[in-house]
Amino acid sequence: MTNRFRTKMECVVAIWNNFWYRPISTRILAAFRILFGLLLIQFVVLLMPDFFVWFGKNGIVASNTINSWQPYLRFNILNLFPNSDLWLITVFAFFIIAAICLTIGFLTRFSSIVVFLCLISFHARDYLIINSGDNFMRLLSFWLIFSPAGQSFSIDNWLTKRNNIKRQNSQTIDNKAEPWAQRMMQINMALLYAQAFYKKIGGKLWQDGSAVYYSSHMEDMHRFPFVYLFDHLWTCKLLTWCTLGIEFALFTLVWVKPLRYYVLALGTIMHLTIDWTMNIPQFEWIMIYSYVLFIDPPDLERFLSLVNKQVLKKSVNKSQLN
Amino acid sequence: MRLLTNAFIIFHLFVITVWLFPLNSQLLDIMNVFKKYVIFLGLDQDYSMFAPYPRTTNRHVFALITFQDQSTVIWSYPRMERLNALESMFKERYRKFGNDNIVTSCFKMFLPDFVKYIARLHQCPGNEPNLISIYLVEKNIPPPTKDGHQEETHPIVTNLFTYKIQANDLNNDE
Repeated sequence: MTNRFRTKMECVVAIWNNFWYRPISTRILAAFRILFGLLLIQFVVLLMPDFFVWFGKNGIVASNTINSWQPYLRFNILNLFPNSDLWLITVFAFFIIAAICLTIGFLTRFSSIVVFLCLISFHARDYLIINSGDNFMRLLSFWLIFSPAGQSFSIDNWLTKRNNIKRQNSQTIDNKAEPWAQRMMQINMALLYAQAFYKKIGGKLWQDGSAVYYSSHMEDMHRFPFVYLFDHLWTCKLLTWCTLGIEFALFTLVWVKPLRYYVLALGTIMHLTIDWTMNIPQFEWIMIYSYVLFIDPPDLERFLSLVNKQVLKKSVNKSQLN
Repeated sequence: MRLLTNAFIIFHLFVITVWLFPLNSQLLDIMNVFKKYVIFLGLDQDYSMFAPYPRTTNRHVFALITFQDQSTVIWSYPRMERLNALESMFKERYRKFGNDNIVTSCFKMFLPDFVKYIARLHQCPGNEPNLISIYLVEKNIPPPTKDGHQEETHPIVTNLFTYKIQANDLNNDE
């Protein structure tokens, strides 16, 4: 009995260690880091025109009101000088620099810390303009701090390689690392869909199939039209139930390896459809980008070698023509 | 090190899961112990977009501004449906603030700030804004029909808040 229990426990520990700690290629994480960084830059660009409306000392909501409304203390670096637009600009400038550095992978860990601290500060400063996509971005930026995101496709990696060559250090850079932070991001994504599904499933409009009809008829969220699809009851019902089905698959079947890419493809189609029809600029893209974290490293390697071959083929053809 | 990482993972898995699924009061009690940590670091999250059901009304906000000389002006809050795709992309946070949040009762404590902001936008030396009322216009989305035909409904206008502007409300360095 004790032996059987011990064997079982050893098996559980092995599965646990395999899932969280078995080194995998950091290229997937690096690809995600670049996409995430680009999204941060877009976040900055979209905020710029009305930056002082949302965060300025004479903005739409005073920082005192926000602080007194929140029952618990939130980290907010802007509260050091709450009525100073100069301080606000300084923090924003640091945020922009850190977002760019994170994208190119320069001082990656430090940049990800700055990005996280700035993000939680801006979110805390004006909670009323924050959407689910922003929440998810904040959570992902937290886990990026602990991840080896700068170990591939980065200036950091290039600098380390160059230094090794200079020092005639034969030690090669191992671009494999423990993926536990990446796993936390994956789990957070799955939990996001689980909560979205759980909260929707009890709603009457989701059950009777009219939820997509109503959400697609919110005039303030319209983007580009989709002929026929949202004007007929049967298509709206189908889309409503498909949404629930896909959200369900994105926290369950996504963990089943043979089904993973099909589920992610369905999720991508769902988010692209929403992005086409609805004006929620970043939410859909942060979700699609987070799917990258589920790609198997060997699949990425295969994809990259295919791209390399194609590029090589084209350059050979070009030189032959010349 | 591995032990510390394990503890870190298990702790965060627990707080994030319980935060998203506070299924019973015992879990909530446990969560309350860690609430300060979760909120302080911005690890709180909620993904209830269109849940439990999407909004069944179209809405927009406008303000009626009465100046000291009793003249009035209507100020329309940015309306996404009147902007092109690029403009509405940049102005999307106005929709979140105005149409999703400020009009709901849980955010009504921000209405005075909103009114003061509108007053500052309409500053006019010698004839400052005196009274500002914020109105919400709501129109039901007609229920779906099999043939796609929609019947028009009338909008309902509600006064959300009225505020008499004080001299120090217009002070930009408040």
